[in-house]
Amino acid sequence: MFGSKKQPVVDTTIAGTTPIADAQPRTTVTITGQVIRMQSRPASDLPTMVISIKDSTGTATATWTGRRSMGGIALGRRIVITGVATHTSGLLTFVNPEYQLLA
Amino acid sequence: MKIIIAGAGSVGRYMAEELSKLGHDIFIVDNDAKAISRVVTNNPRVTSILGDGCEIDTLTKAGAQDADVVAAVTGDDEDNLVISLLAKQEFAVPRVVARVNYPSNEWMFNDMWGVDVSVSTPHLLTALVEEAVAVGSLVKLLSLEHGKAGLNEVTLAPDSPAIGSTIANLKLPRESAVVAVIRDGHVVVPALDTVLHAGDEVLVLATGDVEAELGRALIGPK
Repeated sequence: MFGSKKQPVVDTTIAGTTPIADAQPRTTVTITGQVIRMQSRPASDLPTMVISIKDSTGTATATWTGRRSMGGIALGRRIVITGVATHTSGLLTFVNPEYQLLA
Repeated sequence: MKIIIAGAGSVGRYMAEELSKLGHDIFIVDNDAKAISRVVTNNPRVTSILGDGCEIDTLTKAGAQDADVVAAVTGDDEDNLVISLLAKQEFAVPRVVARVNYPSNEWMFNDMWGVDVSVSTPHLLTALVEEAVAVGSLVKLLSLEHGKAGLNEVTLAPDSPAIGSTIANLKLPRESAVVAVIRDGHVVVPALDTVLHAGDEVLVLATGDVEAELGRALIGPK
């Protein structure tokens, strides 16, 4: 699938984390990946922050309600997310998960 | 379907009875042993969990991990919000329904608190009363999809521009559909060539902010 010259987006070998493609919905899982997209809703709407995280197996989204930014989270940053996942229109989604920033 | 009902008051009890009769697996949660036993004595098929629905442990005991629906219907709006948020955040329950006791709290019952559908009895009653007395005005009966879609009702007054028109020729906004017409107590399934009469109750499902356009098509210029 990936060209041989292409580096995987991030390694998924951090102990105890699950590749995004293998995460089972409605169980507590820990994934790790790189923040590839950040979105916060306009001021007129409910404060919500949504990010997309990608690893070499797939993409997941995490939503935090009640806020427009999360300390330390920035594009390109590698993070670890722990929470209960669901599949929302085919995409792995976390609501208010725990997060940990990686160097 | 597996349904957890938090709150064994009159609303929770009624829901448990009705939904269990329809063949759903009902788990009712309350921290009042008497209230719980009242539900279960009459409905042996309902499983009861004694405990505080605002605690993760209690929801785990009720099996929220694989519940299809959680209904937070206690008489306390704060509790209902906490239960909804836990159900969504900790258990990723696909459908969370919450009861609004005080209409002034309704604005909080949205996806920020994990609520998919909120039901406010005072609001519902007001809409139904308005619907019963109003002719020639648009009444919003129900909001769906967090208020993005709504079921609207108009009883056609004799001066409505819609009278004599077919449904195809109504100048309805794009994001709307006539879902039923009630005429003399009977439901008329709307077809494109259904002609509207004075006194018809027209039910329109619409998304977005189209009330003004619906009003122009069904009520006329004000």
